[in-house]
Amino acid sequence: MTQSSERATNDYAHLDPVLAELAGLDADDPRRTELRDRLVTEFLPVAQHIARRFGQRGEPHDDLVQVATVGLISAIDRFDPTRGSDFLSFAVPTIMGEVRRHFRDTSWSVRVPRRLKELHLAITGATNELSQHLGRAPTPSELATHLGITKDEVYEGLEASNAYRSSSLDELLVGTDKSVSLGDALGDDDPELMGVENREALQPLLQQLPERERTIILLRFFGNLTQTQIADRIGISQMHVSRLLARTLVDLRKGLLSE
Amino acid sequence: MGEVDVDGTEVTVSEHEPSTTTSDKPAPGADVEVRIAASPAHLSVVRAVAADLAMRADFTLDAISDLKMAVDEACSELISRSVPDGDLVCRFSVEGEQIHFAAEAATTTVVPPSRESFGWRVLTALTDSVNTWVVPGPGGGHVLRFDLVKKRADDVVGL
Amino acid sequence: MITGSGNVSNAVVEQPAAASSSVPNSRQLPFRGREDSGLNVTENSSALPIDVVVDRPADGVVVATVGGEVDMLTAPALRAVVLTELDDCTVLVIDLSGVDFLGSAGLAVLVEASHEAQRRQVELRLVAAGRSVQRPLEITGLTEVLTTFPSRDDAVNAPG
Repeated sequence: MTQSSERATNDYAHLDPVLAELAGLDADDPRRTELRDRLVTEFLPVAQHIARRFGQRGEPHDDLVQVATVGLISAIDRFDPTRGSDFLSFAVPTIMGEVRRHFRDTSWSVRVPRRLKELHLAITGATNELSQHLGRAPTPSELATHLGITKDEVYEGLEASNAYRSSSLDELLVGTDKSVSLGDALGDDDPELMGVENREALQPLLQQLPERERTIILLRFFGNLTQTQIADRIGISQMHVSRLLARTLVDLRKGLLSE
Repeated sequence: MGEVDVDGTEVTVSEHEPSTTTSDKPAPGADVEVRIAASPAHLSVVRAVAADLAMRADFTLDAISDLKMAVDEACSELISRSVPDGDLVCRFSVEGEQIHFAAEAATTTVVPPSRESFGWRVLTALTDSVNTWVVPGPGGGHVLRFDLVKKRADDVVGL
Repeated sequence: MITGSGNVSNAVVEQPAAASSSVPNSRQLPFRGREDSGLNVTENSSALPIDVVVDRPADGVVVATVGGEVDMLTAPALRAVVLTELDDCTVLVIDLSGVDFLGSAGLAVLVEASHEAQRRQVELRLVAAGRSVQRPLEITGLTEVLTTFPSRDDAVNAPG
């Protein structure tokens, strides 16, 4: 069909026969090393581009390049040209997957604002509840009313799941890191609110919360309990916990920003 | 010129502009126009605009998802048939209880997409009405158009 | 980290990561396909809004966890990974829980994967959770054709 001029010339075409040759070699063929090294060297810019994309999150660039390169080597080893697809189609998503797995396996937290995570959880829970009640999917205004938050906040929560981030939202919501920082939950990327646990402004606001809401905040961010554990502890449903948490975080944040 | 497809969606597929409903001009009162290079890399932009408009028009979450998918389907068809270096022009109109989406691009083909295709069945399942047709373009070429309507909610009690 | 001849340059090489050659089997896709349906990788987009983590939780079982969007741009990437993994397992789980958008290009890949799996006598299982994935599968009737589970654990632990 037609070729758009946006498509760059195929700078990697000369490597197709090398990939084919490598795929045909036995595991112990000495020629493997030479071909592999050549392929890694020539495809390295792809790994570097990917590492740069993740690099905005504050992790050392060299570590990211290393992880991406490991992914590249693995892709080179596994790729089989006879499967009917091209190398880059295979390599790019798997290298990105390797980098994402690396995020999950280290203690670095990926900077998806936790407030958005809580909001997303609350919206998911509310959606399930309302769908059963209404017999259809809810609208954003119905969600806002049900959760006791503004429509803008619902929009934020919905938009969060519309755009791609380099980790799946669900994975981050479940999360392997046990400790959840209230500062993260309130501060997001807002410099004004960074390190907020240590600020005296927070204490009076927490004291002013109704007892149940204060308990939920403390259990979640200082006791590190999951929403389900909190629900069991205080005798309400997880979805109710989710709702209360989202609303309380919104209120706390407003209280802090109005200082 | 309207025919009704199996699931009740009004469908018009023709080589010429339908004489009754849609005119040659941009959708009246178009709220948002999006013009992109006809490349798959830009589909996410059009989807994001569709989702955002539907969300703010208080569509149900299912209707938002359907509109997003329908817009993606129409634009993907246009991009796959586009002339080299072509543009895709999309227009969204929020009209009370529905959103009207129209898109067009200069294409290499004369014949509109087949109604037997899976992609077309997807479009009719997702929308309340959908049209596609080819008109002559400037300089002797062709322009393929898609036009669809999505309502805020399915016809159920409560909305 | 890179072994070999030591000729690896440390400078960042600014060259456009180029488009690939056309996919020979694109005609086999049942739906719309561009002839040039390989990956369109340009200088600014070596990274794509899709990623796949592959792991092997049990003998013969491969789980491909997909994150991001599956549309005309990224579907070739999903296709490449799935076809490669089908080579090497008795059960392939495609976990779509992290997918924010699944369009007809993605559905086409799933259908092709289903056919290929049958051909190679591999059992294909999908994890479909959330509106972005479940609704396209329902609307197109593919929930009848593909085996879906609500969670990764359900898919991995289901009896073969």
